[in-house]
Amino acid sequence: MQKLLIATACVAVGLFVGLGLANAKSHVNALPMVNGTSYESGDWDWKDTDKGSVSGTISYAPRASRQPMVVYLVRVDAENNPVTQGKFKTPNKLVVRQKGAKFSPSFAVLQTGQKVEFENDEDKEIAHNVYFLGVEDLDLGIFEQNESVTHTFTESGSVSVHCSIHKRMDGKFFVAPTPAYALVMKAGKSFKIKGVPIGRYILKTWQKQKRFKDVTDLVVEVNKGQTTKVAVNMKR
Amino acid sequence: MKSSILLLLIISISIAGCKSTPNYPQPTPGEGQVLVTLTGVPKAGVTGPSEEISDSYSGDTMSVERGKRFQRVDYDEIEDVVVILERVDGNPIYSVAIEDLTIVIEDDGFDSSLYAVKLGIGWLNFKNESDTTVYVVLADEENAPWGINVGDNSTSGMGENYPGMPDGAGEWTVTIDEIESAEAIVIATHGLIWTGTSDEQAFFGNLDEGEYIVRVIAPRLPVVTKTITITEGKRSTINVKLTVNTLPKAK
Repeated sequence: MQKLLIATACVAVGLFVGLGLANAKSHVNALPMVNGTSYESGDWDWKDTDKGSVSGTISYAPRASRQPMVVYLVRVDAENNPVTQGKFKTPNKLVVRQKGAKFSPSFAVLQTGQKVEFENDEDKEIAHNVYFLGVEDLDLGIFEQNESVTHTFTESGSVSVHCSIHKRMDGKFFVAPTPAYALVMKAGKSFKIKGVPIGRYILKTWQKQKRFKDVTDLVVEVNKGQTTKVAVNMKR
Repeated sequence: MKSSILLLLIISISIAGCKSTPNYPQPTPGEGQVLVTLTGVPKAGVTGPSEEISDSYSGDTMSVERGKRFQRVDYDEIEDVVVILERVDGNPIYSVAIEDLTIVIEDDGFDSSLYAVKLGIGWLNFKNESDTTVYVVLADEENAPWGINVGDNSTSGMGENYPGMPDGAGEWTVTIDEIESAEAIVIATHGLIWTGTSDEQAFFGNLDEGEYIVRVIAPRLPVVTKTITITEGKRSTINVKLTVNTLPKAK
């Protein structure tokens, strides 16, 4: 009888541990999946995912800047390491004109994969050149009146744009890693980023003119159909 | 006699026509030297303007292209060039001379877009020539920004151990709260600094033997970095081209 009780207890413990392990394993496997592909790796598309939003308030100390700022999300794993950001739709091509030896617009926020067309729309036969310094160092060459050159930025980060022929013909672009970004202008106090695939992200900031310490490690969890609220504190 | 006078005249004109270069002292047995010759090179394939005129307001040379006035980059005299000499091992290069940097604040911003300061020795001063008290903000990639109040028509400075100022080498962005358009870069280094234009030479003397890095930085141009070995009793020379021709070309 005693042996039977001990045996029963062992089986019960074994079952308990086994079930616990099974549950833990299935919890680990229950990462967000898209068409059988984990969000954390492999090929997945934003259009196939459940989505949420991120909205935030921005505070500045000691005083606000009127310079543009970008708030953007980088998808990460449980240890906050960047993972594959998935496939997403890119916005329409941005056209940058050069009439009067000026880039118009001279500042823009782009997205990786987005095309930029530099158009020489001078009304006289004046040649321009376009080259980049920053996350991409590249020379697009010389092009004459009515010619244009198209480039696709594949790396995220900031890039300065110049003409090697003309003085003060300069611009600056920020290339966001995905569509999950918001451009905050003129000491804006709030932002909203919609259509974000559910999951874990790090929220970061980039300033056109650095006057505050950039946010680099604010963890944000995005849930289906919900708006996650965050507070972004720009400090010195 | 007449032919001698004529010959002397020809020689004098030839000497006057040559670009004058400073005479640097020859290295002593215990010191090494570096001489950096700078050359600005325009982009290959660019044709010249139809004519050049002097703008009556600014005095700048403007190029006239198809009847329009634009200011072209003058690759013969690129301004605000900074040459930094640093030890490969990162150790400071000691300098006897006191090397302060004074950045002038004008009504619309700074008097230049690129500066360099020697850490640990040089003071970083801001001379405010505007009529407004301003707050100057400096920032690098890693640390929290720091700043300083500068009264109107006065000078304020940051020395070693100024609150918030990093003690490591780096690149600082400088802005002014009250003047949105003001922006400049300060290169902070433990090495030696030379500033000038692209038609000059940067000379560094009294150097110990060893491996050094020469960095040449100019606004709007790719940074040029070269490694050089300094030997005592010898002068090493480097030729640096300031140009966009070295950038990768789009396919």
